[in-house]
Amino acid sequence: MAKEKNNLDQFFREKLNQDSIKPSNLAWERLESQLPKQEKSKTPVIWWSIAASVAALFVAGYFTLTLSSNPSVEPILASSEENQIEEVIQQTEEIPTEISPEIPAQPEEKTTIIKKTKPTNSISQKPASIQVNTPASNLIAVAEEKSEVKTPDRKVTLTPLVEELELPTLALPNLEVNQTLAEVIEKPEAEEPAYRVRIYSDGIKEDKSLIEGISKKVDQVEGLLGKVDQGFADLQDAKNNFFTALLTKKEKVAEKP
Amino acid sequence: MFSRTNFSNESGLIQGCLKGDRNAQRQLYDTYSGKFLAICIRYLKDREHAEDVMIEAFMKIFDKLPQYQGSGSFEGWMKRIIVTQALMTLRSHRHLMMEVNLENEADFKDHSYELNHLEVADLREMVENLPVGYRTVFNLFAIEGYSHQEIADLLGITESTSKSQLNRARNTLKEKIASQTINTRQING
Repeated sequence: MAKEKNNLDQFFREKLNQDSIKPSNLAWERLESQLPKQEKSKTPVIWWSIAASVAALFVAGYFTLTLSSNPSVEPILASSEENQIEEVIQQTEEIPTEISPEIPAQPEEKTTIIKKTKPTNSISQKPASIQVNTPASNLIAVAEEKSEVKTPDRKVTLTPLVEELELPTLALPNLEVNQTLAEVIEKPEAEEPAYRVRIYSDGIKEDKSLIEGISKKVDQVEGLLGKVDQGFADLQDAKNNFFTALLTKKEKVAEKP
Repeated sequence: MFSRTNFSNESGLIQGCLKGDRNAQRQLYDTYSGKFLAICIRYLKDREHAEDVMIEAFMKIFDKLPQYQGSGSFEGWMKRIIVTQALMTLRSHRHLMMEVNLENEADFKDHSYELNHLEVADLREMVENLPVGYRTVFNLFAIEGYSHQEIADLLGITESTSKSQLNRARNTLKEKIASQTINTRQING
């Protein structure tokens, strides 16, 4: 008896668990009207995001163009400094082999060269402190920002020394009026290159990845545009074929009678 | 374009519903509404009434979704909400009156019955046509698999009432099946 009852239960359970009755079409609308409202404009959001990304690409492209055009200033500035460095080296005759291969290298390495000028410059001031200063320059290389702030000050004071040696013509006029003028001219010349070179070298470190990323994206966009062009060309071909087919048919029809 | 997110697996569908994604909600509804309406009809008989209850229950499912722990079957969790909603409606409409029948159990004949030829729709109709008390207990115990203790708590009745209602429901169903078998035999013969 109990088994029989369970059979009945089981039979009903198995059958009725499969049961499904399609609700009326209005049921979903009634449910949806009760659900919290959702922004239905899904496709506009996508178009906005596409527009935004395209705009971002243009902005990024603009910046890369302006930045890539700027490095043309660098070699001039760098070479002017390199000349100074070489002259200092000639004077001190310290490490010409180490610095000379680094001079044609990338702007990133210029920062290290510039930092090496510090010890060489200090040699001209205090020849005894050569060995003490070189490890210090390594430490400064780690904390770049601090060194960047400090080095220009030292340079400003040091470059005049170099230039005094280079150009005796500037140093010769010791007249009171000329001296003040000469100093005023010299200082900005010495300061500005020192700043500019470092800023751009740091900027290029970060930009390399940026430029790579942007160039990849530009390639992707170009690929998409190429596909669109191809599709358009296919469409035009299809259209032309269609019309030519129509025309030939008409001609045939015209010929027959 | 990208709006067609993939809700093919259950957890993705739940995540979408949790975010309030209308497409995910629609897909959940499309997947289960038929099944749940059938459950509601078993409890409430009237189709339009059952549909109202189903919609209310779906609202509750979406509301309570953050409470779903991911343990146990998701469908089972939803079914419980559906059944609870159906019972609440029954109670609020004062439909749920337990027929207390003092007849002896022995009075019921042991009908011989054949099940194999019966279709789902026939079975549903039989259950629908049971008296409310029988129907509710039979649905809960035999089909949804609740225990008598749970049924007693849910319906505010005693366990023994639940058991007797179940027995009456079973006997009534057997009677119906037997008579239907005779009918089909007459038609076939």
